[in-house]
Amino acid sequence: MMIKKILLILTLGFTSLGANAIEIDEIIERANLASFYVGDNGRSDARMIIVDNDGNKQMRQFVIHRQDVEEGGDQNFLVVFSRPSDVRGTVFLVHKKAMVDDDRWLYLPALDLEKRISASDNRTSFVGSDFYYEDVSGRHPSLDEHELIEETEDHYVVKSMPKDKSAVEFAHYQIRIDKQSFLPMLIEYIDKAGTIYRRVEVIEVQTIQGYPTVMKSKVSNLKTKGHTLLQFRKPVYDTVVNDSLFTTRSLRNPPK
Amino acid sequence: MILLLVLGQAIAQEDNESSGDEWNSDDWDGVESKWQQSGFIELSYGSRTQTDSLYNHQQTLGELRWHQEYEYQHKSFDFNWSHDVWFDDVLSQWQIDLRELNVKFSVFDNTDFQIGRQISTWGSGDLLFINDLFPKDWVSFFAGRDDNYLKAPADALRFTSYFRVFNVDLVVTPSAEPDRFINGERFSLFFPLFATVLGGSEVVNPKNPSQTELALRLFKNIKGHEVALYAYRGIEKSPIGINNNGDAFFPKKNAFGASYQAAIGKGIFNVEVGYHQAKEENNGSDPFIPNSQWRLLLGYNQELFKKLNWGLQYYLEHVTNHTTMLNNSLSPEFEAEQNRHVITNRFTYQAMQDKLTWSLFMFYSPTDHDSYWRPSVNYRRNDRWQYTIGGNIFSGQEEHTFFGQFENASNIYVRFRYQF
Repeated sequence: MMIKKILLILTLGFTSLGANAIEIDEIIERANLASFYVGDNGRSDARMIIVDNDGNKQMRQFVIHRQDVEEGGDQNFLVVFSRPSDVRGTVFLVHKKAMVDDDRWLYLPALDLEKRISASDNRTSFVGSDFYYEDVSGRHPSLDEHELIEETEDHYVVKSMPKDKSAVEFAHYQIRIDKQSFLPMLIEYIDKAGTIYRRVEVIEVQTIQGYPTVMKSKVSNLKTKGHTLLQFRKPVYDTVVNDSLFTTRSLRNPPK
Repeated sequence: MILLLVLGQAIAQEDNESSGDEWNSDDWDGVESKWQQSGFIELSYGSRTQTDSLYNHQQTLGELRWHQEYEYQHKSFDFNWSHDVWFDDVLSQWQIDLRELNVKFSVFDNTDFQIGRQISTWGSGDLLFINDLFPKDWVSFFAGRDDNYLKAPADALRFTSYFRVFNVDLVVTPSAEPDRFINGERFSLFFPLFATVLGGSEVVNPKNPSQTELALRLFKNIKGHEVALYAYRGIEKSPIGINNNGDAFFPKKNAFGASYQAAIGKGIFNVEVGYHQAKEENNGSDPFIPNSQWRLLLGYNQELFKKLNWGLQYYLEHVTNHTTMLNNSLSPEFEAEQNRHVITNRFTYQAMQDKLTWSLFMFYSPTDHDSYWRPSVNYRRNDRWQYTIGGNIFSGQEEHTFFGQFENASNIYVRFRYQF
């Protein structure tokens, strides 16, 4: 009887260990897809409100179009800015490559200049906000080692360590992933001293065409005490996309 | 008065915005409206760093400028209007510049038309142009106006057609639009025939050209490898010819070229070549019309580290029939060398969450022993206010070289902008 019990516990233990080992990759994979690969394509109005530590505000308003070339892999993005006035009509086209550097173009309307731009550090400010490029377009899961450190009733808590420490400013980050939607609801970035210095949090989720969709999120820079709010409006998924949408033609003639 | 009204309106708008909670949920500016408008008011001042005795005043920039853009988006077309109105303290007069007045529409699903006053740009160079023969405003560029003013508008028809194999881009300018070239009014320039620098007034005042300009580009992006072929039929964009009456004029010119651009390593590499054919000069023997030229450009740019970008270019101008030209020249001592080499470097650094931009662009010619430095610092305080300070510094060992002739034009400037 006793032996049976021990065996049962051992078996269960091993099973759950095994399940965890598979599960962490699956959790991360599903979180990545839920955050950045919803449907085959998507379009949304978006705006950022950038607030510094004195409460001064800036705004960025744009329309973002996305198309998945490969689920979990290559993607195309087109970002068309409408506000503020010095970036009105500026268009940003990215052919994101999962394994190599992206191809990027920027269109500056006042000069009618279609500018090929080199890939930049992905952990720098996106259009002057507290968001990084990587927060907007995704960080490839294979860049970090992931470990499931806690499982609550509603969330998985994952600790992620960078494989290349010199490429990033964090020592590790911790993600709180919703068990139902697999959306990362809270990401906290921790420096070498063990201090949380940056926080990305989801404020509001709505279900759009059956997909749980982040409608409001917030990045806080705990060092500068600044933060940025990102808000989406009228998102749509799985539309019929014209082949030319993600080509340089859209730089001069963005979709209406 | 108009300026004050606009400014008042804009400030009123700003006040409205500061109310409400952080998400300001109803304020999705202009999304529903078919009309969009934006603009700015700018006050700027610039002065020579040394004295040009040809001018009574050493001020090179002094203006209160109102820039305004309107756009109307219809389902089947786009209408664009933009203009600048400013008081120019250097010329002591009001100026107006209509920069855009055009309609854009698409037909057959693969062709885009743009008809009317517009600004056009193509080619791979950074402030060096081989196959982009659209009008440029060198006066604004040298005086320290916003970089956007380097490009001048033209009344033109542009159509761009997209095909599977390659794309076609054609710009027709019925009545040629020359550059806004250095003419002596604001900056002096070198005259080989007089062996000196002249200025202080509009010393170059040619008759406007009337030829039609045709500019054609065939281009394709093959998985990030961008290739293009170019052809141009029109004029020299500056009046560098002298006719039988002794007046400056715009000689006829053709140009043919090609470019290639792709990502290599961490950066972007580009190469561009062009043949500029002087139509009114066959063998280099006419001293009043510059010879044909080959032009070559090699460039590379990349992010050196976080927010610091660096761009390097090598540029060559090769004059054909150079010996014949020297033999026939009235001032051979002032003629450019057969091969004029130029190297440019650009550094751009952004700090304070992109609010502060440090920039330095340098042209240096080892053959002419001259250089042109363009440092600037821009502080974008918020979505409304921007401050810029910068300079245009020319230096050369001789006053007849391309940049050397502008040594007395060297200036520093400051700009304050309120945008709405």
